[in-house]
Amino acid sequence: MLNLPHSALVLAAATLLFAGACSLAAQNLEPSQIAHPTADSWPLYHGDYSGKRHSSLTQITPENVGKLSLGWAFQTNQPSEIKSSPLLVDGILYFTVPDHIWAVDARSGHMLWHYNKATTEGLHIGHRGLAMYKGWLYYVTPDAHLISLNAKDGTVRWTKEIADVSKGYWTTMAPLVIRNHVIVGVSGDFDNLTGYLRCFDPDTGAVQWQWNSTPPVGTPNSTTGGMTWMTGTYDPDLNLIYWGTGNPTPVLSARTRPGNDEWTCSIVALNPDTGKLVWGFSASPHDTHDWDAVETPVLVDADFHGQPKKMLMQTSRNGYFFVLDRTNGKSLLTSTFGPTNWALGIDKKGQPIPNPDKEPKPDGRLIAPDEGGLTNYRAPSFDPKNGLFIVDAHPSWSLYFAKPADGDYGWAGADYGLWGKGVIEAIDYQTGKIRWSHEVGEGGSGAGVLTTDSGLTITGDSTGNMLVLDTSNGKTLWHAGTGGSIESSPIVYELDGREYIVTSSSGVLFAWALPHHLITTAGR
Amino acid sequence: MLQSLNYKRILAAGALLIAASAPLALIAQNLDSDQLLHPSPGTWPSYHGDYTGKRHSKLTQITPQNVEDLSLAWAFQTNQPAQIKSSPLLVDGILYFTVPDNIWAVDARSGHLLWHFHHPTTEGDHIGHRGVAMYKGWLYFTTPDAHLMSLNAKDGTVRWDKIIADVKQGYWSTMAPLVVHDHVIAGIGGDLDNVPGLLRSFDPDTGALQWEWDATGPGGVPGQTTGGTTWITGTYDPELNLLYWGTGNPTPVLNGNPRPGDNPWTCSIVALNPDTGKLVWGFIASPHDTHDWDAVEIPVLVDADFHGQPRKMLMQSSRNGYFFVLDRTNGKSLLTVPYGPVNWATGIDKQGRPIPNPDKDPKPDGRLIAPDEGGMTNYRSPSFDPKTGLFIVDAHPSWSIYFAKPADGDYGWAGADYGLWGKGVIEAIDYQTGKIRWSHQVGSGGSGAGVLTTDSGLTFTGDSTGNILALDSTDGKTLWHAGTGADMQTSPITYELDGRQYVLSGSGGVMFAWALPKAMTTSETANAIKH
Repeated sequence: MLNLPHSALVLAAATLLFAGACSLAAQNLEPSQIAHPTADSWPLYHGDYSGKRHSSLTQITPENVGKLSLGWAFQTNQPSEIKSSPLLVDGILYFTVPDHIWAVDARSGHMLWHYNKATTEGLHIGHRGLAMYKGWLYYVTPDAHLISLNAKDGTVRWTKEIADVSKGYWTTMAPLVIRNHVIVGVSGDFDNLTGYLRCFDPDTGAVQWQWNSTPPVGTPNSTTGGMTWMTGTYDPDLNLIYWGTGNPTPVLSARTRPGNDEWTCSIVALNPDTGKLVWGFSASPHDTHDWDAVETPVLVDADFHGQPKKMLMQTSRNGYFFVLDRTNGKSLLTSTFGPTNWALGIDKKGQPIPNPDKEPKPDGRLIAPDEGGLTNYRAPSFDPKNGLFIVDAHPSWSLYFAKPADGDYGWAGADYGLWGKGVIEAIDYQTGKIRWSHEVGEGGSGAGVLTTDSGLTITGDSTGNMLVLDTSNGKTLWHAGTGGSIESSPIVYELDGREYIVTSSSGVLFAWALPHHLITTAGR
Repeated sequence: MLQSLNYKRILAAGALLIAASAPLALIAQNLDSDQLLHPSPGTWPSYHGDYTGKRHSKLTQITPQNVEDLSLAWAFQTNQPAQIKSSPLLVDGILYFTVPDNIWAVDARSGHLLWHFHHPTTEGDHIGHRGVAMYKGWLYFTTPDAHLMSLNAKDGTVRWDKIIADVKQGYWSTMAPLVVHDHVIAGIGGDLDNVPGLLRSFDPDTGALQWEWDATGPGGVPGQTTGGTTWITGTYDPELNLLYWGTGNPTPVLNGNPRPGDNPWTCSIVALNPDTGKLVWGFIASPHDTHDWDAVEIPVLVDADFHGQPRKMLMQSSRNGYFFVLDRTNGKSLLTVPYGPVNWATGIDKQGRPIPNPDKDPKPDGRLIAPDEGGMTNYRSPSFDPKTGLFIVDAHPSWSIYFAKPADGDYGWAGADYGLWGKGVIEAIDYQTGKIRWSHQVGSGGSGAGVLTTDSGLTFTGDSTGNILALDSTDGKTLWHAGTGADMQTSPITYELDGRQYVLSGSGGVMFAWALPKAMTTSETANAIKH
């Protein structure tokens, strides 16, 4: 008689019932739906394979965004900042912080399930999100494992090792699914390790291929590094995946790794079925400043100086904006998008020529940008209507020191950020000129950028405001304080005729929408 | 050379301090007694907003017609696991709110942090925190280990730290003190030991003890109760110069055998002189309580007609399930009615008090009791809406099983209870009859949200799934809602700054400030000027 249920138990049962109702929705994402996402989905990290983070939705406009309101908030109650882009499939959002996944009703913000697996090894620096294929989620762990989970309830199907955490690898990225390939990258900066991509079978978790960005550890006069910690993009017509690679190691000392250190700080094109390299482009040849070129390789089909081109664009951490012909990796444009002082010029391939005098020195060198770079993992957006590549830039200065006593392993030097600010910059992709810029404050913002067909640019500032800007001129149309640091890239979707913009700040996810009565009016 | 270099973060932090605090330090943070007596719409200077505890605002910018356009002006994230259970204060554009061991001072227009006070304590109970009090330029903050701290409102530095009660005896403190004249009145919590409840009044400047009122006799007296904790902020009538306070359950909690009789002044509403702490009258809401039904719920002060006569009333929707209307000049009952299922009383006595049914005391074979131990309501605030004459409360119809466990003796809890089922219902009670004019279900399990009403006819509260709700005060219909991602365990407040009305609600670890879009508030301000 004493074992009567507490009200908490009764509540838990009620919650289960609620979750049960939602499991009726089919959670089944076919590769064709990833290739052609509908407006009521955000089925992969970038929203689509192009990485443009541009939506065709137009319910929220420059005219009515002044009435944007909060649809719902979701509180993780975790100290980790949300750095992930949610997935949205069949009305359910999936997002992460290290060791945690939440499945949340995209209309109400109500939790369906929460997966938590504490790990102690690896680095818990951040987590970018999930991939999905059919009814399964793919999630990487701080200790460099790939876990496949049932999207309906978060139960684990299998766990595979991506890399050996005891060697210094960790993982944070959202895998990329292409047909029956789950492509996963690795992180690891503090050891001299080989960067690589590994491709897994979505059903069995068997390794299909591995591509190494650098030669094996111990190869004389050769670099290590080239980590692959951000999700790449994909061109189905060319059947090529595009991926950015990280810095060489040792990081700040280059004397053991002469030359361009390929393929570190590079943009590479690989065949997704074989993992074979088709072409590569060194964004920072012989890097000595930790400037990973992992920023999103955005794929744009458009006119370039009068000719239709299949392009790849990247605002790189080293301060350069690159436009490449993505069929062959040839440079179309290389320009700076903020203060840089470390290159002597641009070579014939369109690659910056590093100035040896700007390498870290025992007496220090003043360098722009700083180690965090002119941008970082936060996503940019390409707006086709205005032809603008919009990026959350970070003009900044720092001091770099060589410390020969530190040897040739891992970081191998020291750097000190001095000053930086955040500026949302709209770059004309045909010239590299900055059409408009919008200051977002001292220190800078961690917010990515999203654009919509109605002419809105959605991002954040350094004091935690979510911002909606006019894409044509960068003027603020609306803002709201979110009380935390915005460290993720917004997404947008439409469900039941209502457009939602989802942003995060610190441990809270916010879903913004117009008041219901305005939507009804618009529908008429 | 390396040591003299500043890290970017340090530089950034320095810049933030200068940028954030310099302009605000110019603003006077000075709250005098007159402002406490007559709060302006740009302030919320005490826990209940004013001395009456009505939690009714004169503000009318947000209306039933435009509330559907309500939007988020800002959010503030505490990044603490503790749920916000406090009502913020607002003085000179700065909000002050708390969770146990923490105070935040936040710009009320932007939500930007001005300062954060963190004072970790290990003793006492960290069950919740209701907020701070303020007098002149000083804040008053109670701690889980039952201290009262006075801090500079400008920067959160500590001026003095006094003991309210001995944490080692089983006291703790969670409440927002009440400032009346030059008295800072603080109560205590403590359920798990047989200790007397008490109120203490401190000098706002020196922290010297001015008086103490004990709810019960000292522990250890045979045949006498202990308990009667004072853990929710009372109200005050300046004309009568009387302080009204609710007191908690007797101890031992579920075993009434060692404490025969009515157990005054536990589960009671008492009127005290705030200058002396002397009892003027007392009313026992739950005589001889055996169900943990503290009568600490807000004693709401209303001056209005009652059955044709103008009255100075006190109203309480009590945890035991009864709605009481008293004449607050003398504590005489005007009305006693249940506002949900209750099955523990055999009737109402001549003094308007429920008569407990001895068969509904906890028994070794269990008793099915309504409401449950959490009660028909709890610390969340109700609101009185003068226009409709409605007393609006977040009620919790509920059932539980209570067991006597003689083997547990007669100390502390001394029994066991198991909640079976409950739901949340926002109820609008006609104070003249006790009839429920309208009710609005807010979900299984219930909500922890308090209630706020405004002169434009809005009722703000929350539901059991974390939505903030705006209801029509006349009929309880939902006019607007938004999901906040966690239970709302606070009572909303409202204020107007620079011509813009804000509604503030806390849920989980986040404070949300809601307002109409600026374009709308600007045009309405313009219209107001034209009129």
